[in-house]
Amino acid sequence: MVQRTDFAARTVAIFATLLITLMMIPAAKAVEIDVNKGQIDPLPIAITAFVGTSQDSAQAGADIAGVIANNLGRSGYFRPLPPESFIEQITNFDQEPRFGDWRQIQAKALVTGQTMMDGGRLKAQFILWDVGSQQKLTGFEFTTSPKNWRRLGHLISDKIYETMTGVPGYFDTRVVFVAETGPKDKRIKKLSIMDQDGFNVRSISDGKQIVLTPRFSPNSLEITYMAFGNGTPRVYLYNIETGQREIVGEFPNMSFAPRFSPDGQRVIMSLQDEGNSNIYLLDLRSRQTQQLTNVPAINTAPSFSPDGSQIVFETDRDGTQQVYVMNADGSNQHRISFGNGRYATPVWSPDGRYIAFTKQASGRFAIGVMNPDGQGERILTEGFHNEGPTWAPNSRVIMFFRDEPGENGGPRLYSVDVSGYNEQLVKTPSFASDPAWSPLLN
Amino acid sequence: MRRSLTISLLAHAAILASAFIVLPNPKEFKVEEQESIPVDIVSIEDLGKRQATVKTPEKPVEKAAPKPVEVMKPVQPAPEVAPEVKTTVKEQSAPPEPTPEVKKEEPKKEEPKPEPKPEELAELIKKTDEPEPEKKKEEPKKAEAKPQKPVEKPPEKKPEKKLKPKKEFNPDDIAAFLNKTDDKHTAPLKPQDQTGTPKQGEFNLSGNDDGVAATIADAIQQRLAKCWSIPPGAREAQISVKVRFQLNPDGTVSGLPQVMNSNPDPLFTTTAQSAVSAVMECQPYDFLPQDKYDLWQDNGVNFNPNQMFPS
Repeated sequence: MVQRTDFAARTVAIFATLLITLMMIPAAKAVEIDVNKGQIDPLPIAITAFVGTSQDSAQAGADIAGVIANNLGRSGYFRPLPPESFIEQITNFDQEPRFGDWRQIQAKALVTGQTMMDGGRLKAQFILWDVGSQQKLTGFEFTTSPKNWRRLGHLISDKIYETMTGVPGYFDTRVVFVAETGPKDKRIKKLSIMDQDGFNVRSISDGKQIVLTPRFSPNSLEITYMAFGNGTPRVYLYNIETGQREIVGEFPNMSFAPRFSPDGQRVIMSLQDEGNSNIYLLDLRSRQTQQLTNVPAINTAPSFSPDGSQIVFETDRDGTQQVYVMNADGSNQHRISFGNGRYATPVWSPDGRYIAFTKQASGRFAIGVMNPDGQGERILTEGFHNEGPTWAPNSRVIMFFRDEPGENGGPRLYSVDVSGYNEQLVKTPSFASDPAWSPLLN
Repeated sequence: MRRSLTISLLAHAAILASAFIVLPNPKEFKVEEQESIPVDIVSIEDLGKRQATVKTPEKPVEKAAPKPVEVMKPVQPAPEVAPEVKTTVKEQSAPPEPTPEVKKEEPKKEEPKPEPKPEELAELIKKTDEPEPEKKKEEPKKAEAKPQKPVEKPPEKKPEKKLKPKKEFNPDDIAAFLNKTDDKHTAPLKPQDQTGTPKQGEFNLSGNDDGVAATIADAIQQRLAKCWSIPPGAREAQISVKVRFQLNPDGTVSGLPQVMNSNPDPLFTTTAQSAVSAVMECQPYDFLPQDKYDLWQDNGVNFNPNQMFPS
């Protein structure tokens, strides 16, 4: 009986083994692989000088390639390969590149282009190639006046950046800042504007007044800032196109820390009130004001969420400066910062995911980000003095200013990736502070 | 008759009795069965498990790597070539906007204003590649036609993984850990390198066809990890790209890799392109054993960018 059971068991086992073996055959054939790891190093990209159809346009073509390489390299996501390493010299835009030559120098992406004069205007065409699959990834054509050739470089940079990273670009933008010249105790502060890469700097105020906290309107033609007019600091509106300037609201006391609402129709700011200050919303059309906070404390630095439903601001109502969030009508004011130290100048990111802030702790100033609920605080940079974060329109890069100690020290502009990596000095002709990043121009 | 019947019965009984003596005993058989177990669970995770015996992680890894369970099905032919069209198509409708805006934003005293006119480069592309644009124009439509099927898939597998209690031993944990270590730690190990004590589910790959399959899968995985540049935007997104590609016996890729899933997220296009590019860039796959061509002729790869940056 025992033997018989054993025999039966064996027979079943033999069949089962056969069955399992048979089932395994297809599994062995179709190999399925998981790749959970890859390279996060900057992507090697070859940007060739755009082929010019005339001598003028050839020079512009080489210059445009230089602007693109500089933009992409500074972003930290690309590594433009040195033109000296190129094996193939692109001389004909219409011809397909020799991909083997580009693979050999480890280029993953390749940019070819052509520039030409078209009725007194400069036209640039480009193609972005994937070297591995030998495919065209994207291609566009832009036209502008020859003097604005740098802008062609920025527009093309944005297209390449967006295609390769999956994130919108930020190169066709400008930065308004306060240019500072002269000795430390007698600084001349001029409102200035430049391209995002530090080129094309020009002043938009004469330096007779002290200007602070310039901010862009969502349509990028207007800025709002604070200036010491006849002693009393006031909030102004300035139209970059027309050069027109106006005071925002007639208030008996100091008004400061202005910022536009996402629709550009309102300005939110602080008004001083006997040693305290509270946050007010001013409608630019009706000129009506609405008081949003009413607390005997310093409530300032308000910044709207991108959907306009909430406002983040700083307040010392609990004893030290902290970041609070409230609804756009002033209701539901609640604290979100609970780390060690003081928190100031909160700014909501354009994509709504983060709030950037300046944090002071242990005598050092840091720039950091946190989620709108106060969770996930991360410090991006820290030092003697860092202040005034402003977001690139794609919410990936933050610009801020950093002051240096000492007689000859002064503030300079820096940018840093939201990951905390890739900190870069933004070169300006003089000391610079209070940067404000514009939306995309195009 | 009766005698012959008796003889017959006795003879049968003798054969049966001898069969019990001659046939392999149950112990021997169990060994055989054990060898067949790896067949069932061989995968890239198993290889990772094997390596884990050498380098024991100092602390338990918190997040499990996803293990795709579903079988890949072609959804659409080669959508990876679509990005070009998508951007150009979008741009086509854009030109009316930029021109007026740009005119306004420059101060009048300044030089002539910029009027960048983004225009479609379809014509340009035609110059070098005539039939392509037409072919591509159809693809976005196809993608729109059946978006639901693949979109629903990713969520299916993730919850399944996370249901597992964290304290339990999970081979995927180690695989996830290994995915974060240096290349030298994840390089294929020789048998003599194994110094640690084998853990649960340990097995010997020698002489087993399916063990070879795991080794091949691991080799391809490691190669692809070196060629794949993860797009920055995809690092935080919940995106997975499934790519299928066929290899020629000389290790070159036959045709272009096919993207098997789709996703309305614009980041998907970029991620899919990066995956296709990685497969193409990694060729030739001439490091794979020639005599096992049937094991690497047809490959399905899941590219999971977010696994590298668990949030």
